[in-house]
Amino acid sequence: MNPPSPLSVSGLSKAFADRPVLAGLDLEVPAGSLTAVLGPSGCGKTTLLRLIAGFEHADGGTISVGGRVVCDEHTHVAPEDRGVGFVAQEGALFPHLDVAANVGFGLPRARRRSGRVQELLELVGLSDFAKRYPHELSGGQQQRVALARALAPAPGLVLLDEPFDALDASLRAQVRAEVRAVLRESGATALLVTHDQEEALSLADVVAVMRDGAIAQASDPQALYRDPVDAQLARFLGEAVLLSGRLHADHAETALGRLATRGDPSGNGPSTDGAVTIMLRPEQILCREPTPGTPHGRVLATQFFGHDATARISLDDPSCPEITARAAGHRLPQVGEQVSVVVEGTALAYPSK
Amino acid sequence: MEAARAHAPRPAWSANRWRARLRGRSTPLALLAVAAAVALLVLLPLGFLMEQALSIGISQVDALVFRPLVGTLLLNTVLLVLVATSACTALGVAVAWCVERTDLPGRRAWAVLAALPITVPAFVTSYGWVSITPAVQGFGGAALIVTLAYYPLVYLPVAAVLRGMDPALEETARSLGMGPWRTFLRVTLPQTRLALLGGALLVAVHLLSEFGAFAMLRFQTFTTAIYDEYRLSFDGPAASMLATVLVLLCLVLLLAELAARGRARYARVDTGAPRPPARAQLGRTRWLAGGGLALLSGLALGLPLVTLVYWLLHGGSTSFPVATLLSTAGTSLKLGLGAAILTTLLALPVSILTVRYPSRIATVLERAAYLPYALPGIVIALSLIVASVHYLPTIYDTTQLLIVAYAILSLPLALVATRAALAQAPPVHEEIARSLGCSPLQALVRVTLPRILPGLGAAAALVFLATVTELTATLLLAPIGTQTLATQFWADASTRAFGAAAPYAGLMVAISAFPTYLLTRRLGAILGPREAR
Repeated sequence: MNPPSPLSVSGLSKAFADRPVLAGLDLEVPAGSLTAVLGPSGCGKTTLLRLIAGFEHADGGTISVGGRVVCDEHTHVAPEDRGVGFVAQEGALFPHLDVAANVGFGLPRARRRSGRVQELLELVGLSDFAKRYPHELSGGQQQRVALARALAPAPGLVLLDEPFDALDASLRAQVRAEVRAVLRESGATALLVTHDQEEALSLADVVAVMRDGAIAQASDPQALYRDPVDAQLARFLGEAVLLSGRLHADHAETALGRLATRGDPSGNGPSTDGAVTIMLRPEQILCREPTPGTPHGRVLATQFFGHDATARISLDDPSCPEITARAAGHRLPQVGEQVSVVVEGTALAYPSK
Repeated sequence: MEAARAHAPRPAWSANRWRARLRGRSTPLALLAVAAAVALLVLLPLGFLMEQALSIGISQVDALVFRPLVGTLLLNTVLLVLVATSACTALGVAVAWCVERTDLPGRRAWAVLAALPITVPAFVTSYGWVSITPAVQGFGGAALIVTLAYYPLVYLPVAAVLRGMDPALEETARSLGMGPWRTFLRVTLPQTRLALLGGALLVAVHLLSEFGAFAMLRFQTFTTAIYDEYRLSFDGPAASMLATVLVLLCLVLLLAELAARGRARYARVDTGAPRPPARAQLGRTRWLAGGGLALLSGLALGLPLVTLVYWLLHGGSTSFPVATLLSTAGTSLKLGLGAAILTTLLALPVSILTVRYPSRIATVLERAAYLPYALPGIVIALSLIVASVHYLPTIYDTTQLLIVAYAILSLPLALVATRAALAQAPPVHEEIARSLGCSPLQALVRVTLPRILPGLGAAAALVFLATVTELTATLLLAPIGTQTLATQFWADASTRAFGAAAPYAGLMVAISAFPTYLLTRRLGAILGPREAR
């Protein structure tokens, strides 16, 4: 038999003042993974975390932590009895305690001197900061201490509430990598919420996208980015080029020519007349020297990001909307330039609405 | 320090987010029960007072209420409240503007001096005046002296708003073609409206409650009449009836106050303006303004203190009563400490309930606990006497009852301070503590308490200050043989033994100076960083 899942949520619902925030949400978190819940601001991600931690009471549904039901119709296990660590948005270190005392806060008195605190400080790379106070640390250091504090009692699950949101953009990537490494090394199972799709995709083993109070899709980052269940999700996870087309056996006819398709992840199948919406990622669309026999277009505008760039292209075929292509930064076409458009890889076909 | 600030671009927790999160959390029943008990402690004695006032029958009520004396009292009280409140408001705004918004020389010193009269009890100020001239007795003198004693209640909040005001508003008005005077009337003054209204109401409440100053100045109001009925004629029902009329007057003010406070919450000026506002150039009139402030400080602060020192040095009527002085001071300190501890302990659960578990019932309980704020000490003392004599005779005439009276009287002060402290301690810390295995009580003790300790200290200091200078309730409730600095002072001063009274007043002012010092420092921190001068 498999060991019980560190976190299993089913049918969870919660409303604030009659405004539903969670509506029958289901989520499984695999042992030892870092799972990210991704959703726009105000979609109820934080509420989900607070329900799992036990800070709020659910209106309905079940939460099990490590196979034990901590929340259902009849049960509400107090936060202190759940064995769930929590890292708040701004770290929320106790300002009246030094770093060591913060990390040792959740340990029984006897264990505070057992070396566990030092062990954790080493894990987060702050051994020399034990006697510092929170206000003497940088934001990234505070966040690492908060993580060490949450990990100290060795909880079955650690929750992280937008832990990098309060950090400077320049620091964020570094702290992210550090936190990722610490979580891996400690072997802890972690659930993180974020509104930053880049953060979720680059950090997590599993990304669960939240929409309308439920999980729209949960998958590993690559599959999620490649095969989102619908066009809306595709756009939320990154830039998407959407074209109308007509589906044949394994390809579709579109303004960009005949495109090979892979299955429809929504499983609904195309409508009977074969009309579909084709989804491509801008990086699948390449700009080339104009060649006869390929779709042509004119570059309307470009946006330069350094490592890469995007170009808005208006196709000569008037039935087609403008499309976006991504190019390496050093191969950026000029505005007004005529280009040929070539598609790489397969396209995703959603049934047309 | 710098690093932490640099990486926290957003305010940690906004009040609105807290409130949204906290609403609807299940309230611990034990906490609710304790807070309800505190509210009951405040309300029950008042209930007994009303009961006694009404138990004497309609014809008696008629005879006691509709008589010339009540008419005189009503006229005296209302007229004095109107005149002195207006004067305090005008004076408070003028001083605040001079100190905060002009280039007046020495304004930092004036800012402190202008606030100081609040630390001298009004009955000591009256004593100072009466001891040099009997001419201040009567309406005019009473109005003058209470204005001098209470104008800081308007000055302090208005000055705080002026200090924190965004200078861009005034600059915009000027750029739109308004002159300085019109800018003040149409832009500056409206912004202070809520602080001004709150301060004026506070003055009115204090005036309705004031007993010592009016008794000293032989000016008859409800409070002095209640005291006379009770102390001199031992007429319980008559005193209760007058007290009931006074309570009704207070309720009118309380309703006005609640209305003002309800709006004040949204209009509160954030701490710290982006840069110090430009100051009006007074030019030659600054000597006039400086002279006016000097005169004010001389009358409000200098005169009472100088007369006090004069009587200390030239008392003559008795030799310096060291033994009595020490024993009364000891009693005052003990009572003050007892009241400070009890009141803070009573205020804490109510504040925790309202800050951490906001709900309709929490609001009702908190409002009840705030009620004594608008009730004269003499009413609360009288109601405790009625309640204890009729229902719990064993505690009548005990120190415990006196301390309970102090606690009820100063509960609003302690609530304000503990509430502010709790609101600054984010609940996320308690939640983290819970997720690390603490029970709610452990989380409170290990995380929240260390954070709010300074706030609790401020609450205790406020209560101590109010208790040491409290006169009315002490006169009515001090057990036989218990003399405090205030009652000993009163015994001498009311028989015009000015020299004999001086040492007690001096010691009272000295003792209350220390917590005042602590509080003004804390108040500075609360009101936001002072501009660099």
